Amino acid sequence: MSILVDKNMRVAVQGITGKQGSFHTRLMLEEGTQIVAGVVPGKGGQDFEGIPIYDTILEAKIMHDIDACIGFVPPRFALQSISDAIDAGIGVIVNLADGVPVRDMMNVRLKLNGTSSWVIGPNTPGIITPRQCKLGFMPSRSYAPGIIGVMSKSGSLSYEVCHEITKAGLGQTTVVGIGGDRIPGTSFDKLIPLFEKDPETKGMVIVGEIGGVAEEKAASVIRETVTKPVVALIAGRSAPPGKAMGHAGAIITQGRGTFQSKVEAFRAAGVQVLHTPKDLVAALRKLL
Amino acid sequence: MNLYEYQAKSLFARHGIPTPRGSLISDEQKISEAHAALGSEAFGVLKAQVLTGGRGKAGGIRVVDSVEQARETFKSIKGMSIKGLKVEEVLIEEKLKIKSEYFVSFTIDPEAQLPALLISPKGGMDIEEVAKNFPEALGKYIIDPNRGLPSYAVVDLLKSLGFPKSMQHPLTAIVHKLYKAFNEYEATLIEINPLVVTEDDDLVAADGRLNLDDSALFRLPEMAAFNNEAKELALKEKGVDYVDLGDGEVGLICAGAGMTMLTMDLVLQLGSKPRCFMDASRAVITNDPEGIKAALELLFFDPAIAFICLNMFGGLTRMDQVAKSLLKALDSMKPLPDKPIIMRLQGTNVEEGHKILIEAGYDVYSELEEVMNCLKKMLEARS
Repeated sequence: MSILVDKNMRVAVQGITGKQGSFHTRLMLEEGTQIVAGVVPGKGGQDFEGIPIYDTILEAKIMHDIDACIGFVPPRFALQSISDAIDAGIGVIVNLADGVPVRDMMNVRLKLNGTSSWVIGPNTPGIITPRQCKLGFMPSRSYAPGIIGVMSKSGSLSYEVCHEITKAGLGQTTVVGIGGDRIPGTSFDKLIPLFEKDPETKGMVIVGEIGGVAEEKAASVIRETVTKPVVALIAGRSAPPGKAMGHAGAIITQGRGTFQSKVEAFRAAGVQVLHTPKDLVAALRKLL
Repeated sequence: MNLYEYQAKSLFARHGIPTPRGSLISDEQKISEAHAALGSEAFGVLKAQVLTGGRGKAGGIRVVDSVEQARETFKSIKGMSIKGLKVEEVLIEEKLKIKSEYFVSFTIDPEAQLPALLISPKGGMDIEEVAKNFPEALGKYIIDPNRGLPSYAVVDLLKSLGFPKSMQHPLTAIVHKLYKAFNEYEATLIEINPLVVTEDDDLVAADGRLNLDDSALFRLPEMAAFNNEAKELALKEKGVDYVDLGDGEVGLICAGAGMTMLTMDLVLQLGSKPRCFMDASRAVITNDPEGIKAALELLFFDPAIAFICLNMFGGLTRMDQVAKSLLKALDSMKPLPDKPIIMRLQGTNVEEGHKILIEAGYDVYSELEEVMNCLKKMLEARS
């Protein structure tokens, strides 16, 4: 099955004619993603390789009943493009931009209150249900349809982990990159119940890192409501406090967001924490 | 971008938050001027300006009583290295007659993902310690950005924490000024620890921290002009995210922040130390030869680095392109010091990438485990 995205999703690409947008649209189509519209202000009425372009996401939604959109826009315009999509009632909104201001994402989260939209990202490679729907730029060859639900802050580590999961013959139901920012559009604790409910997902993998309390919140949800096996990897054990390790959100401030805090929270929830992607998958196999 | 204490204090002063009298000393001449300005009774405290905590413990904050003593102390502090950071500038300030010390800060609360006021009558110590040992002395208020910070909420909090009644009004004023600065500069952290109550019952920000959201600097040109951590900024412009960890003999060059962190962790697990965080993914994706060369130069020409580990798993990034860029950079840097570089490439176009590097005479691996085993053997052979 999968969560959030599948082959039936009708997708719009914001920024479809740009360098990034055009390049990735072609690759996403190859994976089977149903891209039915593009959105580029000022280019409404034109088309991109047969895909109609609209001036606004609202028009695209009205004409094509869009379920999901993916934005290839510079970080300073992320708030605008995500807000437009929320206003248009798009169910799954993906934004990949690296460098979106924290206060802009704070505003996105406030705007999401009372809606049923999901925002994936920013600062992420995206979300993929292998061979059905790819919204992002992850390397397709590392993924295969299967039984493991994966949630990750890091893009590169999600490739590494999925590479191992695919090698082990397990495959993935859906892989969600929540991104490495301080305020992501969604987080582990919101996604876990979806994987728990999905009949095809038999186990879950969390790829976390230092900074924030996403892992601690995930551990709470797991302890209370999850029956399926969950394993985790947490990067950044060697990171010194007070310095952001690449990702804006990967920083220990005022003593919060430490490696120890996350390990303890997971242990208390019965989630094994492993230190290499290989060990992670080996532990997962034993639990399945 | 994190601001130095003296920079944070200059911005506090702009917002009407009292700071100690003082000046930045770039050379010894300025010391006599400072002595004249502060007067002999209040002269002085010398403070190393570095972007790390623990300055006091490292001997970077010292009280002096004379110009002579100040000159000696200045020379000693200026040459110091605190947690791997070199002290370039020293602040000299008046001595405060301290009656009590408070703590006040605004951050983006990680749990609520909203701005939060954090305040305590127990200033002058690490906030982590207060949180652990005196949790009842730490007050937090989560702010709805649309509503702002209501005065009654601040007063209520001060009352519940047992602040003296006489301090309520002046403290509330400072809290509001600090919140205004926090928003104006789009900070991720603004902190005064300690906020001193002097014997004259004046509130003075004896220390100041201000961390800015790098992603917002494009719309705050005045803040961008501070240009702190210039080396890191220059590399960032070339597409390389670099954090110098101070010491460590294994130099890293990876693609992706998470991958870089994991590689650092694995080096630590092997009993060695990573010298840096280095995510060169943007340079590699945009195929910027400047960036890759700058990154490799940093690692090859630093005598403290004995081994170099390159670990890249490309999604967007094509490994054949990476291999070509690497070779081009390495060729342009010859002659190279005799330093092992253990390379791992995986992902898009990996076979071509490997072929290119092998043909040029380099060893290259496909799996993370292989790189770490190779490094392990090298570390063992060396000892």
